[in-house]
Amino acid sequence: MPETRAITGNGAIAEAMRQIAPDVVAAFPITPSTQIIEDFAGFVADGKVDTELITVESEHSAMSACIGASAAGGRVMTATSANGLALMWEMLYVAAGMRQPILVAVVNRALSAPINIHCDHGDSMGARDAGWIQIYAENNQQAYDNMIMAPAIAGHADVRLPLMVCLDGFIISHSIETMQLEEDRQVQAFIGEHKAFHSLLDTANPSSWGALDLHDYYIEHKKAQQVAMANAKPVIEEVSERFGKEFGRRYELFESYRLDDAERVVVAINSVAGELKEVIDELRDEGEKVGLLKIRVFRPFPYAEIAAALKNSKIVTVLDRSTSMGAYGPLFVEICSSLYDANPRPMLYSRTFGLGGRELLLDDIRDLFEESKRYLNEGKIEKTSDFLNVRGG
Amino acid sequence: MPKLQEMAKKKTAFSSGHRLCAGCPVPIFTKMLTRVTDYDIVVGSATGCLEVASSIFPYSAWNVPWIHTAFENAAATMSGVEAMARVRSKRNGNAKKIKCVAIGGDGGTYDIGIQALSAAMERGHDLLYICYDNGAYMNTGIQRSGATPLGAATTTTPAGQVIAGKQQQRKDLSKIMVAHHIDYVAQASIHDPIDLSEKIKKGIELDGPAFLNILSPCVPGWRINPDMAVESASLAVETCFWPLYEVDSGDYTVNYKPGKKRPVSDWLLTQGRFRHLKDPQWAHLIDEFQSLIDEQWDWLVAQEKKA
Amino acid sequence: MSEKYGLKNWQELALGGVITDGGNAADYETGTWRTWRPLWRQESCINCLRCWVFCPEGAFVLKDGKTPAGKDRKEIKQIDYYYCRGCGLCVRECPVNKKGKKKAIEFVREET
Repeated sequence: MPETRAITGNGAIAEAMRQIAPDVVAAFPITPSTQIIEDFAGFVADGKVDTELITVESEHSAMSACIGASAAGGRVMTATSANGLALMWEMLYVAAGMRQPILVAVVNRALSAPINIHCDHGDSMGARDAGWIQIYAENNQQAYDNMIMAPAIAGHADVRLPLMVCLDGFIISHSIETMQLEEDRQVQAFIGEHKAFHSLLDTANPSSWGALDLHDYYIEHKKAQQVAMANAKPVIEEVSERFGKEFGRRYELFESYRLDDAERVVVAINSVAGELKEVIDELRDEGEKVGLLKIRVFRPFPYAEIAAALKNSKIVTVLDRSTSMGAYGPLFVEICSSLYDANPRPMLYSRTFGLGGRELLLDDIRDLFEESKRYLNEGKIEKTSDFLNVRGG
Repeated sequence: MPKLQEMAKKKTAFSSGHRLCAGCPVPIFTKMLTRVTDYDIVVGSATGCLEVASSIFPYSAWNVPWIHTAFENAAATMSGVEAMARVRSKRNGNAKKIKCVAIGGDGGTYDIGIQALSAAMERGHDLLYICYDNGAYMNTGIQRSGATPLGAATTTTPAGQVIAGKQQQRKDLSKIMVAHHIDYVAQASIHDPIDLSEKIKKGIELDGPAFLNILSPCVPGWRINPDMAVESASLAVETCFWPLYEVDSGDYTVNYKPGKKRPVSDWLLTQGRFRHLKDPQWAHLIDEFQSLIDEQWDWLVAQEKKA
Repeated sequence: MSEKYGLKNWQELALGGVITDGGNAADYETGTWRTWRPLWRQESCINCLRCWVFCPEGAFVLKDGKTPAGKDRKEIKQIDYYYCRGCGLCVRECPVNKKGKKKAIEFVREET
């Protein structure tokens, strides 16, 4: 029987991991993701899973051990945040290049310096070119659901790529929400068997992994990887649809919230969507045509689908919870790319918020919509890019 | 030599057609890996000469399953493989046991890889880690490492007018590994195939972590002729620069004691990387080197006596 | 390009850069590196196999044979010049050569 439970985001991810029952987990503690591995270690200690838990000495070794275990034919998972993900960086590319469907829960946290343990998306956004599928979640339920869908997506024969399930540090990871945990057997049936290829443990057929690839083959391997990432898009749609049929919660590449006739749209990722929806409902009651496009899948990025969803918009405010120094925010850049061919093309501007956990309150969001109203009326964007809620303006 | 006869009956883990330098002695031990044991093995390499030269796509010299992921993490990568081998045994009691071997050069072991190595040993994986110590980052072009001996000229510690090569003595990694209290730590040399093969066999076959440090001269790095690797390694042992010893469950055995310890200059001055030490102004470095060796040799022999 | 050089297209490659036929480096010729050639002299060879164990290229080919007492043993059959890079390690380490009276492996300059 599915169970309704009040649980933290980290707790929900740990439950998903228990249900997925990976062969190997290699992990290193880092706030705010630590509880995932603590809970999971408890499941191992109690015999609720027979996973080999490797308590490594660093995140670099965590990802290295994950790659080794995956190449040896295992279903493999880990969890991390911020500096931990940064320490994995080199190995993220190796995991993707080796086409290992490793699953990582990234509990989003700001990168140092200055050191900060609170939420922003600088960690996973920095890894956006590493060749990992990235799926984001607004709340505990979505984080859990995304993780349940992850093995079927990452391990799909047309995909075979590593996958990050991203959830906001503290806001989701440590907040208790009432959500539905699905039944173990139903989840396991949904996930299916893990299929390895050219396992290192197949000693009768020795394969060699990680060869030196020079100018005669490197680009062919990269092309194959790029095609796999493109393949991931329909696979994510297919798995999400199957998930909806099985468990009743429906997901698409992104969520369109009161978007059909919206003139003023905010595009955002993760937990801030909750506040945005609240304000949008209020403004809709006042007759304002406002809406939200909430990104779920950031890699592969659904350019054409987003362009179609925004075709009726007149002005689009993109909220980035990370910053690319010397450039526009990563989400803004993608939305601009999506809309380049739109005719008519909506007005577009970028706002960066929430770095290092800085709050964005409902009033701030109301102000944001006021601003977009003014820009739309004036037909002019005053500031293409700016930080919100920063002292000194 | 019955031992070589036994090995000769078995298939090699390492094929011909690899692209290591002419005269590179590394294949002496890689060829042996499957000839000393009946176990199936999986090998993982750190980035380095062996890794590069054995796997230039689409060619691989590895007749056994092999993986390379990066420079600093052979021990971590193989920890994952070993964990998966354990999962396999747990699920299928009849499955043939698979043994794991990680291999790195001194750069990937003494330096950038020491954290992953230390942790893998501490965690107790059933893993033999082999370091082939050629005393510098040879793959990137002979830069100094923590294993580079005192006085050696490398491309980052050149022998100049006022500085005579590397100014520090090498770290004693084997001793560091002994301090992990693992089941087996040994030093071997490519010039003694029998001793080497016994140590590889022990390291592979025992259930638990083991570390083997193999002296492996580098033709371009040591600036020796391509036919000199075995002789140069032999001199390193005869001068006691590189004692052959093993620490089995904490007990020291010195496997070879030269009848008469030769002066270290016999080894140093046959290599181009130490040629500048012939200059009388650097004679004190040779003396310093000799006293370091004497001190360490005496210490080692004393450990054996304690046991 | 691929037709001319026999290279594969991206669709034809194993996933993740894996080489599925480990040991295929044996197809790769390294004998072209050689400028000096070891010549093995069967009549002087004592079949100690030291050349075989040291040869970095694995270029010493073995065959089944018998000891003078009639026991089975492996013996040197020949040097495989497809691989031999001519490093001379076998020549230097040969114990027959070291005794100095005769040579079981000679070293001669490659004819150009």
